[in-house]
Amino acid sequence: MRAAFNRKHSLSIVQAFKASSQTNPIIGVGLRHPHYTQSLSDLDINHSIDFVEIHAENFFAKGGISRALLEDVCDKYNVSVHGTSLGLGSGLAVPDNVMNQFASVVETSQAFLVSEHLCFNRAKVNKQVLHSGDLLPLAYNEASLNVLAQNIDQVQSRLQRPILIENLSAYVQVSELEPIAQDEYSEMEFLIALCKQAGCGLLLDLNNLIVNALNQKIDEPHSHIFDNIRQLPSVLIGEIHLAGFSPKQVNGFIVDDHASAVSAECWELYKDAIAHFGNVPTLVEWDNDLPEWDILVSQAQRARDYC
Amino acid sequence: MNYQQALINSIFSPQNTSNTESSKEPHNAGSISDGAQAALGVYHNNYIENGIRALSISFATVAGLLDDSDFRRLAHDYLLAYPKQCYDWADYGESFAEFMYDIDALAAMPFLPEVAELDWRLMHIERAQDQSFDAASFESLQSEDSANLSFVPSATLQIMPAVFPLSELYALVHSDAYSEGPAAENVAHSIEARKRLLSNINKLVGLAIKTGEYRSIVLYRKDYKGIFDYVDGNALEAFKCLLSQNTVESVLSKFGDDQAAMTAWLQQQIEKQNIIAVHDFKCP
Repeated sequence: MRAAFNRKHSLSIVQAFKASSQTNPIIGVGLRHPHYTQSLSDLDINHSIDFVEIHAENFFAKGGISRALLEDVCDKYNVSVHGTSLGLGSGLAVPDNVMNQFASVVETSQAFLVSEHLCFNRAKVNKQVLHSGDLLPLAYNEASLNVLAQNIDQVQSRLQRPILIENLSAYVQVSELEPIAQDEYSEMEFLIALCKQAGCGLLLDLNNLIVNALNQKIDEPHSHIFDNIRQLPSVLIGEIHLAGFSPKQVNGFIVDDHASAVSAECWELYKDAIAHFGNVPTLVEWDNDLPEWDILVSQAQRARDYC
Repeated sequence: MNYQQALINSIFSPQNTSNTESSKEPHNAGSISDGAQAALGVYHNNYIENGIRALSISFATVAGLLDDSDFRRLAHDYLLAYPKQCYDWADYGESFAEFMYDIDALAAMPFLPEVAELDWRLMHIERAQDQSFDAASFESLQSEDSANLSFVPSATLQIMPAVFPLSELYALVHSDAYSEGPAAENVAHSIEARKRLLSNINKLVGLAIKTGEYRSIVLYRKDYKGIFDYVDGNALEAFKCLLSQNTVESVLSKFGDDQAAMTAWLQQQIEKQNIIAVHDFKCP
């Protein structure tokens, strides 16, 4: 059995991430399949990227070309591993085989950042554990906090390192589905309590905050969000995500589809966020309707200009 | 955590996604606001769209043989009939081929389940653990009695029985020579070649239905790519024997007195790394 992760160390490691980016901004882009060839070429623009983020699940195969590619990517770039399937708020532990696949990607890539989401994704229904493949919202209460902390501890103990947890874009509040699952914390209070209990850091996704505020029809979303995130101790922020959203709505909701350039709202918020938190490793996420590689890289350059 | 079960159930249950139809289980009818009901629709839609995309990657040949709308409908129905239980979408779809047998609308394309099985096998061959080739171990073929040795087959090597013309169907979707799009080097030539291939496929499918005769294909990985070839006769028996990990003597005996055929087959399997080592029973 592995030793529990030493939470005292975790905060200092998150601080180390931040300290390293204070003087030289650390800016990266999400690396997706259509960009593999160009990202691994000798293009001059590739020197302007400090790191790439990969989705762990894209490299879960035991062998073959994706594993070979992972090695090539790691030879060229610092890598951040972003999990999308662990669903750490689920009331079920991550199975060992999945944990091992995740750990294998982290270890092979020698990831400098590892992150997952503040969400659940699976539950037992009619004796079957069903996995939605999505990032589903949690109630901000003590029960969620305990489950999350336990599952994050499982991951951090396996990896022997802290992870970052990303705030979520959600289309429904849990209390709308089940009145007894009331929030006991605000989102920011919950994130702070989680970091304290689990010894993890935060990946602050600014686009998710914007999408939530717009879907909730909040007046003056920028000031609302900025007032909220100012409650977060800067020491906890290990990474920032920037992204855009499509104006096309589904069932009346703006969907966090990562299918556009970073939005004007997101750039504005980023400017204020780094003025407040200091430079933080920052990633431009663009997962669908991907642009040419040089356009994606130019978004990273724009982020650097704000630092 | 009942809300987690409730939300998961809503995502997988189509009756819970319509604004006009209140869900009955596990929520109480009418207890959810229209806004929340619409939000559940977004999550359901995400599941379906992500699933269709994943299935179109895992079953690229099936997707290529069907119209986009037909593939979407097939994938949609499968996603509801077989809710996702795995973490990685690449592991989802094992029963897709079996599911197709029961779809009346696919009766005109009876070859699709076999094509789906081929897609599934090829994808997993491509994702299998890499193996090392033990060249030195082959030296024992010169010095040891072949009754005391066995070949170690690659873990990606498989035999699959098939009634339908999989090679032609696969080429129709994946070969540039039959491409319909503007990317085709010589559009007129490609269109003509495609017509001929389609005509040949129709004949072969008709023949397959009439005779119901199985042929065998051998599947393996070469340069990260899943490949398959038709195989029959002595070579097929040798492959079967190889996969059963019988002795080298047994495997090679399948060629009888045809030394040339045996040598050529063995050379090919070593070159393709379908045989990755020789095991000496006397060695621990």
